Amino acid sequence: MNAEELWETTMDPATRVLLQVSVDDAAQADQLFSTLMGEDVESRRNFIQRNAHDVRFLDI
Amino acid sequence: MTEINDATHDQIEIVDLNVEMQRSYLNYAMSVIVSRALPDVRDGLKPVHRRVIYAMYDGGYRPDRAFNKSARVVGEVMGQYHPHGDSAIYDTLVRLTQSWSLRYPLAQGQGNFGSPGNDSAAAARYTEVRMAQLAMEMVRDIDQDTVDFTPNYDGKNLEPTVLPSRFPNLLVNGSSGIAVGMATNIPPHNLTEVAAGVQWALDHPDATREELLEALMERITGPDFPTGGQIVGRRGIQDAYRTGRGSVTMRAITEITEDKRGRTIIAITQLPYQVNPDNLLERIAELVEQGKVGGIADLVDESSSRTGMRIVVVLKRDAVPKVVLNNLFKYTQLQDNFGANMLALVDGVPRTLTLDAFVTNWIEHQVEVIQRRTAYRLRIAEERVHILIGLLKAIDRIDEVIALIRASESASVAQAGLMKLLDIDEIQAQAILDMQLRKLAALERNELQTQHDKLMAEIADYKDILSNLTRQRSIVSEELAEIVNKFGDERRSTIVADENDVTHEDLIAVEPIVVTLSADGYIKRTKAALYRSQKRGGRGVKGAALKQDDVVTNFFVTTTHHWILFFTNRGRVFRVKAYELTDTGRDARGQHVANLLSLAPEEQVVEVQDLRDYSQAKYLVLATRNGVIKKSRLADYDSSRSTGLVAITLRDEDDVVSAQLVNDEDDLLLVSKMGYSVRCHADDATLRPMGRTAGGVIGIRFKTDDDYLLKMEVATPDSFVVTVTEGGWAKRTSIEEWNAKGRGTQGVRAMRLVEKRGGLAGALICAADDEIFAIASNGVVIRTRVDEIRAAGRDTMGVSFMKVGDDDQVVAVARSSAASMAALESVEVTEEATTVESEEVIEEVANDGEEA
Repeated sequence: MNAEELWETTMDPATRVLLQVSVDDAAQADQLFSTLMGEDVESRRNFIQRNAHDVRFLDI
Repeated sequence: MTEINDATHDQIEIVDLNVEMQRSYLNYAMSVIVSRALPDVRDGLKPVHRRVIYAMYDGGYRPDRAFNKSARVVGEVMGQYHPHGDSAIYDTLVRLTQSWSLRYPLAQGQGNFGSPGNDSAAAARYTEVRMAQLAMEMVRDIDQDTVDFTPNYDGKNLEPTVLPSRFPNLLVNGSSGIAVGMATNIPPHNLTEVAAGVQWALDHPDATREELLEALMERITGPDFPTGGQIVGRRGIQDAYRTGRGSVTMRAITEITEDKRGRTIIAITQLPYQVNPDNLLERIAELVEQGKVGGIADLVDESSSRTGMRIVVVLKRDAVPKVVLNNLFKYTQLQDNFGANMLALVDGVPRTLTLDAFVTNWIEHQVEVIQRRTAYRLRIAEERVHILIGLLKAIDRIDEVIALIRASESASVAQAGLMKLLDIDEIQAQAILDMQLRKLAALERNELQTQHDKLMAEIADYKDILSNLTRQRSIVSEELAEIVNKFGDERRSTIVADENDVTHEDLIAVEPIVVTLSADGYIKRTKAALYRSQKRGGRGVKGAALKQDDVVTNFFVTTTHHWILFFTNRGRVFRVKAYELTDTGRDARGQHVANLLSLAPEEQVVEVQDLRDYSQAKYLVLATRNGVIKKSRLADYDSSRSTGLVAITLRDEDDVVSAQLVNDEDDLLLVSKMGYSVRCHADDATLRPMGRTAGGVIGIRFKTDDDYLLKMEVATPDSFVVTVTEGGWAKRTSIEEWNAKGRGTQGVRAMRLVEKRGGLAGALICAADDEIFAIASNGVVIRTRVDEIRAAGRDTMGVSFMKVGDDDQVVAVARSSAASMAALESVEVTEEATTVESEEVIEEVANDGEEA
């Protein structure tokens, strides 16, 4: 990808989309992080199985 | 950064951390799960493997061509299909070639592809690869529309979503991978066994899941690792097959033997799967250094790629090989577990698979491959027939056709003209136009008609296949059978029963066997039938090819399921099942007891007894050199302890000399070195039963300080006491000449001894038709029937029985019981009867006392 292409696809303020991440519920976020990145594999697996159908973008 | 504030341009989405985290994490997790770390149940491949194999196939790096640089293959895979790191691709390729990683390698390598140890493969620019012959079966028929293709990452190319995989690769080669929140670990299997299971499934499409699982488990006995080794116990295998999860215990193949210098060594020739020999050596060295495993003098790695793997653990002189080996199993990867967790993608969803699910999913895939292949072939044949029909029509009017083509000013005019002339469609007309005029003119009707008819027959066949599921399955079956014929091989991992497995004994047939133990300590078992066939020739049975000077001192007929108890001079008792003894021919020497039992240095086996079960006799009596006897309940010894069970607590440098099984009615006969003897009852009034580790009571007192107990025997009615002196004098005396008195006396003379004839070398209670062996220190053995020995009174000197030189003496006397020989005779009848009869005879021998 050339710098020009990067500008067109990603960086151009006219077309780009920025995500502004906010924290509404810090406790819930903490809980989620523990599930997703903590030691307990079982709860992580459950989370994945519960939400598997919500996947929108697969990097195959 | 200024743009961010420029609200007129930027689209800003406000998202909650929770939502974004969930979404991103799921994308990541599901990507890894469905397209990286887990294999597809149909072809057993992860995307990278599939891409490597397909790229090699597509690029022409095939087994019938020359090798190509690995870097080229890596480039091909990366450039066309797999936009990931080149090292990951090369590592995958390397692993596909390694005979210790894959049970059936899918790539052939040329050059340095590393070792099972810490040697990695040479860089991709040095090595060469091509597909393995078997890998062609993975892609066979792929060009006949058998599988779906999907655009590759840059949309310039197509790649298969799954390979036809004409053999059950997932079970056969196994797989392992760590995804997110889940992982998989599937052990490799033997192709022949798996195929046998698949064939059963193909033949029984209506079997229930349970029936299939049972049938498969009968045929697929367990994993088969490329590195061989042992699998210990079946429970883990069964768990894995029934539930998808189970822990399979793997063990190295080891042998306790001697090296050229006579040192005892443990030779390790096969390791558990995925165990790195270099790391193992380091670990053993570490344990020796820390003192956690003792008895190891040296550690030598004799492995080479030419001679195969061999690690030698040299033991110290006083080490007990079995103990060292057990410690190595316990503390190192010489014993390791394969944690089977059989997860694979079924329709893109990860599922834990039981054994039957592997097979049904693969068969389903194969049936689809056959259906699609047949449909493709049908289509091609129909297209060809269509053209042939056009050509046939053209032949019938060939002159007009040629004239029409010549007259037409353009191809499209010619095409339209032909369609009209021959009443054919565009495709047929185009096919005629595509032919060179020369060829068109030379067309022969017969030839075309034959082709046409042949194709029509094929079309009928294809249609039949497509409408007939049974035929589809039988095609799968035939084509799999071809692959197995070509690539099937023997299983490498042996499956042995776990010592704690209850099912163990069920696997071993109850057979009559002969157990022999030699004076030097070599023990073995031999099928009783082998002795019988020898016996006909004469009266001798050559029991074992022993070292010079060694003789068989214990010889008895028993069955494979009996216990063999070993009593040592240190007062311990070991037990093994008879089937655990080395099974050899008559002539072999067998195994040394020190390699079978965890004996301490200087500890010797002094008595061997066979036992059906622990209710066979009520008590066990031990007798020591100092004249102590101890009776305890036999049932107290029913315990497995590989380190042996203490049977008596010895006092004052004492040694156990005899051990006998007795019941209340029996009498014991104790005979001392100086020829004194005590006969006493074995009932509770005379001899109080004691605890297992108790010390015992006085059985016989000695007249002189240098006298000691030689032997304790059970007095059976109508028997003889045979006594033999060191100087070679012997006699036999009826047991009736001894009266049962109390224990703890000095007893009566069993033989009158004079100094030049030496002390007693042996005293045995025998039946008249038993045989006696006397062994002299110079190695000479004399063998006589008991009734050929002079009968005489208790207090007599006997007659010369064996000539020994001035420096030699009789060192041991052994009995070969007539009852044992009779048991052997009974082996001659039918198989079934044999077992029973010989067992009965053994019981009689053991229970003789009871009848008194």
